[in-house]
Amino acid sequence: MEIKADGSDGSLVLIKQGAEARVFESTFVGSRRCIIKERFSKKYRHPTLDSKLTLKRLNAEARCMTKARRLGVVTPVLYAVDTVMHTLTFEYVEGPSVKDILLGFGLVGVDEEQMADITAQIGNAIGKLHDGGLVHGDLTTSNMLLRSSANQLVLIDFGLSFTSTLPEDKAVDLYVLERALLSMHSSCGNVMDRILAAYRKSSKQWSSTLNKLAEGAADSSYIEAKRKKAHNGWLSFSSSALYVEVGLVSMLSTASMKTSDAMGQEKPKNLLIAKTNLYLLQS
Amino acid sequence: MKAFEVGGTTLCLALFSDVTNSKELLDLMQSATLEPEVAFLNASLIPDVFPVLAAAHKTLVAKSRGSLTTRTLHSELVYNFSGSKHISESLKRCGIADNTSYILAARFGASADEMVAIEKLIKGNEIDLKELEQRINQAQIQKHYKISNLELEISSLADAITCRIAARDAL
Amino acid sequence: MKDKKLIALGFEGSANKIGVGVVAIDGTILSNPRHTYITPPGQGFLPRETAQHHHQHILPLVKSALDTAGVTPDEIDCLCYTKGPGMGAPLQVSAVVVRVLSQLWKKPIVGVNHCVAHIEMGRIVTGAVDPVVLYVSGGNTQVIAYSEGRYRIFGETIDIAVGNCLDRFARVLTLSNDPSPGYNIEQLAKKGEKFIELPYVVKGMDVSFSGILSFIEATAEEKLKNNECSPADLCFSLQETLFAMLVEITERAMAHCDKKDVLIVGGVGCNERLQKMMQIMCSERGGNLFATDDRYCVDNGAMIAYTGLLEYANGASTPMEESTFTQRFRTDEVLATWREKESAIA
Repeated sequence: MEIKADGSDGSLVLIKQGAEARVFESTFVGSRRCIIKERFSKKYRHPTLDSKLTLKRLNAEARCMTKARRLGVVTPVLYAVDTVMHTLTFEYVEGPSVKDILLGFGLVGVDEEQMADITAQIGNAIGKLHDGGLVHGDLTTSNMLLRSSANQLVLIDFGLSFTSTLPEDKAVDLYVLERALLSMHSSCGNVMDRILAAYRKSSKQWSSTLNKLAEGAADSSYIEAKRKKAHNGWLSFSSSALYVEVGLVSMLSTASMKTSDAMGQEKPKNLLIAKTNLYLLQS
Repeated sequence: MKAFEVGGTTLCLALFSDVTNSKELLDLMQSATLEPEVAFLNASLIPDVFPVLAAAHKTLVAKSRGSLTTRTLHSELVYNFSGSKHISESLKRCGIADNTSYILAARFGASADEMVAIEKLIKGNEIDLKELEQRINQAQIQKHYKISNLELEISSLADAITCRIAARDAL
Repeated sequence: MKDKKLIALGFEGSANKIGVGVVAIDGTILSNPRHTYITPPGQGFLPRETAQHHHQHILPLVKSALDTAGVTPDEIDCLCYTKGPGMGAPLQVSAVVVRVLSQLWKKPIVGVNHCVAHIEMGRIVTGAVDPVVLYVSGGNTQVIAYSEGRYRIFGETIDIAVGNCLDRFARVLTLSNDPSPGYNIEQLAKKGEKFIELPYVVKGMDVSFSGILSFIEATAEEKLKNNECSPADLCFSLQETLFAMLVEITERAMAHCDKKDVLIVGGVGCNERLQKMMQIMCSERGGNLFATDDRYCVDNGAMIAYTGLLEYANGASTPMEESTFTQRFRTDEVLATWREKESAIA
């Protein structure tokens, strides 16, 4: 089933077409301004997988956004969950996203005071979530709003959230945020360090999480790194390697190698391979 | 008495203090002879009408899909307001008992005549809905809905209750 | 500008393929031969054996590349090689040969980032201007987009690469590695009907595949023995799950950086089911999918030559003492100077 937003229902205004959901503005029980978030099915996915994921995320979002509030982290007040229409109805939060604020900083320069306030609120909120065993799963600056009236950080979009007490899961949560900041807000300076400073103050378990973050960032970037076998033997010119190369060149040259036909000659090719193998053995 | 618009219909609410005949009301309800059908809610658990409206919305959606959990539309409202999945426990806590003296009466799509009938049915003083907030039993609300003081740092009681009503079936 | 077009000779040997290509600056591929190290079913390729394979084939490939292109070393403007990322020993082979040839032919060297080369090859072949790039291969799984002078990684795997997951799954089923394990999974998957639920792990714009692999490794044999499903069903379910995750994070990145088109590169990018799923997603968003076939998707010398040439044309080359290789070389370490000029023109 899909919500119709063709204007036939005047109270429903499409405000965002996201990757997995449409977001409407409407009113709830007559008077309360609200957001309706409708998850729609993705045609590229196998139908079984699709309906499972849609329902799983709808429920996860309802569960986790209310759990976050229990941990003292501000999220929109949930008004209704509809598992048939795949909709969530929740409080309309008036205010810009942190993404827009930081992009603004990128254009006109960083407002230090506001930056300090926002990063402190972000670190504090994530610390509370994590200590309460909740992992947001999609921490980006688009998923953080700043309520205009109170300058209060509001976390949204808990569709990928889950409960976990593992430091690894919390570290990945922070890692996702770090990457989002790097890719989107590199002109704002090191926002992540400011957030982590606040996180350390807020989370009692900060040290195990941040240790994993430090390990994980190295690991996840490069699968090869996991092999732990440093193989950078050729990074510097050792005198023996130089000798082998010079030797190669002179041998190839003395074999009267010229232009393209040089490679076709059987003897120099073998020599090259022999010498290259010798070099590889040494390194 | 006041009517609120919910999901294309109305919900009429009337708040009573010093009710003396709750046992009689309970008996009528249990013998299904209550006329007109009405929901009686334990008003000391209600800090604001908004969570009641959220529960009403949930009730109407279930009704429209033929998926009521309890026997009637109005018992469903009480059940939904509880934010709990235990039906009998919900009706006991959020409904009324023999000695309940502070009651919120609710009826969907009530006509003026029906509301007069309801007001006659209940022996007590009808008071303004604005009184809800001052007359709550906060300790009982926090216990029933498991609302910590940590949550109340960032949330009103009414919002905390609304979240629990909405999220019940996702848990 | 010179009268003649700039021409480069490129060497790629970061994984199990060794390739040599000759390319002109306008993207014309004059030749692009390659040779793949194929291991027996149930086995992956190891660094040392792969390097030995590359040794055996690199010089004949150089000759064949020059012959097919009809150019002599004199006409070559620069020698380009894969500096990384990849497996150490195989990377070393191209690096050594390029150093030797550079001294022999007196030609400058340009070290190239393998991932960036896939992207640039994909762009010139398909004509995609500013797409979100899904780079999927045996060693890499990244969602990349150009922003502020660099190709930035928006999403990636937090454990194993998607191609690695497919390869290792093929080993569990002891499928043939010829022409590639992924290709054989794709063919078998076409016969699959039953969808078996597998772990689906998306975290923000990142994905994790290790859970799927251990799940499949732990349950595949039992399910097959009990006749609960066929190998084809497993291949089908694996593809459906892995690719849905990839399409999902690609779409997230598109929404995040407000881009409409997608370019798929890397060996796994040849997979038609992945292309089909991505196509559906793109058309729903009003964008286009750009994908290439196995001539360009799979590691090859031409992509290295072309990307090196872009750098060379912008005045960059790699001094001999810096012509090293490295297993770790992030896509966003490269300053994509040529892209800046492109956007300046546009």
